[in-house]
Amino acid sequence: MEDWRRVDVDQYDPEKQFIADDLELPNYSAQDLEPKIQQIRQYIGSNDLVNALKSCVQDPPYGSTDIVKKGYLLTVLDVLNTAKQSEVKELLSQLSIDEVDVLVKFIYVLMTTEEGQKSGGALLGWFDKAITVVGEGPIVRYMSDPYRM
Amino acid sequence: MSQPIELDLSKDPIYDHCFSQDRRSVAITRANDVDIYDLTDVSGRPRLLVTLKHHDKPITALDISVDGKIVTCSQDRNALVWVPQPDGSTPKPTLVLLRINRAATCVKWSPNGKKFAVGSSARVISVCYFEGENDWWISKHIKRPLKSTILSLDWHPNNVLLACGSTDSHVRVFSAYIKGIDSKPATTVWGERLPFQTLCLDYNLGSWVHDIKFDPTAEFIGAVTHDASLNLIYPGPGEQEVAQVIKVKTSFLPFRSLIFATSSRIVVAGHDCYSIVFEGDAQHGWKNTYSIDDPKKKTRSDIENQSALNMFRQLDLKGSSDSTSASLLTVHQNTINVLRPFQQSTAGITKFSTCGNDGKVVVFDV
Repeated sequence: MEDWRRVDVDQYDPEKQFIADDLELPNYSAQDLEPKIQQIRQYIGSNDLVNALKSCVQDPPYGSTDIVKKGYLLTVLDVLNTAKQSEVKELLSQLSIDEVDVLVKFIYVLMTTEEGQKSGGALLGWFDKAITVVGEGPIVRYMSDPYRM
Repeated sequence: MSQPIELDLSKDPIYDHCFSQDRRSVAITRANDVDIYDLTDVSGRPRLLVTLKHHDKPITALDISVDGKIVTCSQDRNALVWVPQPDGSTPKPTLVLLRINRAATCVKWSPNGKKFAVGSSARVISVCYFEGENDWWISKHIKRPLKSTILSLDWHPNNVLLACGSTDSHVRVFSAYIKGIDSKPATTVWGERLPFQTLCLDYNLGSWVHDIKFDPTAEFIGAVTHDASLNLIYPGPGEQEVAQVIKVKTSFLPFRSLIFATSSRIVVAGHDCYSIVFEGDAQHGWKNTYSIDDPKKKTRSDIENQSALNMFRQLDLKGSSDSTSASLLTVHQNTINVLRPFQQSTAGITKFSTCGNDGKVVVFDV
C-alpha cells in the first residue's frame, strides 16, 4: 500500500469512533447578529476601536453556519483594517488575555479567507503585536481550541 | 538555593524516569529498554547497573513501587513487572495481560504497591493486581465513558480512587476498587459507595489533558492541558458535582507535567524546558509566582566560557567561529517530559526531578 500512514484504522473498529462533546453553542442567524454588527460599525464610525474590538471578541457566533460566521469575520476585518499599525500595540494592551485569545483566533481564520489575504500585511501586523504583548499562549490555545469560527 | 544536579544519561529522549525509594539509583527509559544507574559510585558519575530488555517497541512509562518492584509499559501493548532478586542480579520480568489492542501510554503503582493502572490508546484503563493462585498479574478494564487515549493517571492515597486525563479533554476520577485486594475505603469528598468503575468526577477542560495529580490532601485535582493552562478542579458535595474550576491561562508553551509541592504550590514544566511555579488556593485563585532555572535571569556568559575550545567546537558544528551558541540557557535543552518528587520534608516537597527529550535527568530545588 502506498500511503499507509493516511489509512483511517479507526474505521475498522467495531466500537464507535471519537465523537467530540456537544458544546451546546447557540446557532445565531444573520438577523440575530445584525444589532451587534451595527453597534460595532458605530464604534468604528466614532473611532472607538477599543470598544469595537471588545464587542467583536465577546460571544462570537461559534455555533452558526459558515455564511453567518463569514459575515461576522468581515466586520472584524473592518475593525482591524481601521486601526493604524502604530496604535495596534496600545489597543491590544487594553484587552484581557482571554480577549486577545479570541482576537488571535479571528486573525488566523481571516488569513484563510480571500478578503483577509488582500489585507494580509495588516493581519500579520496585528498578529505580531499580539504575540509581543501576551506571548505564545494564544497560538497554542488557537490550535487546541474546540470553539472554532 | 543549591545548584541543580544534572545527570546526562542518554542520547535518546527519556520519556519517563523514577528514582528508587532510597534515591541511590534511577531508572530511565531508553528506546525499547530501561537503564538503571547507580548514583553512589565513587567516581561521582552515574554508573550503569543493569539494562532491562524485553519490550520490542519503545517504552512509554515506568514506575517503581514502595517495595521496589518496577513496572514498565510500552508501545508493544504490554506491561512487565520486574521483581528485584535477593542476590542483586537482573530483575525478573513477568508479563501482565493487559488485553489492549493499542499502545500503552502511562503506568502508575498504587501507593501501597498492590495494584497498578495502565492507560492506553485503546480507550481503556487496565487496573492490574496480582493473583496468587495462578502466580500472575491480571487486569480489569475501566471502559466507560472514556472516548480517547489516556495520557496520565494518578492514585488517591486510599489506593482506590484513580484520576485520569485524556485526549478527549476530559478529566475523570474512577473507583478502581478490587474485591479481595482493597479494604473498604472511608468516605471522601469524591464519594461514599465505590464499586469498581464508579465514575466520581467528569469534567471537560476543552483541550488535551497532559497530566493530572491529586493535591497532597486529596481534596481537589490539578491538571495541565495543551492550551498552556493549569486547571484546578474542586469537587462538590453532590454526586459527580464540580464545585469550582480554576483555569490559569499563561503565555508559556504547553506544560507536560505537574507536581504538587504543597497543597498551595504547584510546579509545572513542559515545552519551555524549565519549570514554573504556581501558588494559590480556591478562595484567592492561583497565579504564576516564579520560575525555576529561568532563562530570563541568565546571560550567555554564565554558561559559556568564551574559550578556544568553544570556538573550535563552533567551527566544527557550524563551520563558523560565531560564538553565539544555539544551546538554550536552561539546563534542559529540550522538552521536559515528567516531573517527580525527589525529597520531602514535613512542609512539602523540597526537591524534584525532571527528565526530558534531551536525555537528561535533573534534580532541582523547589
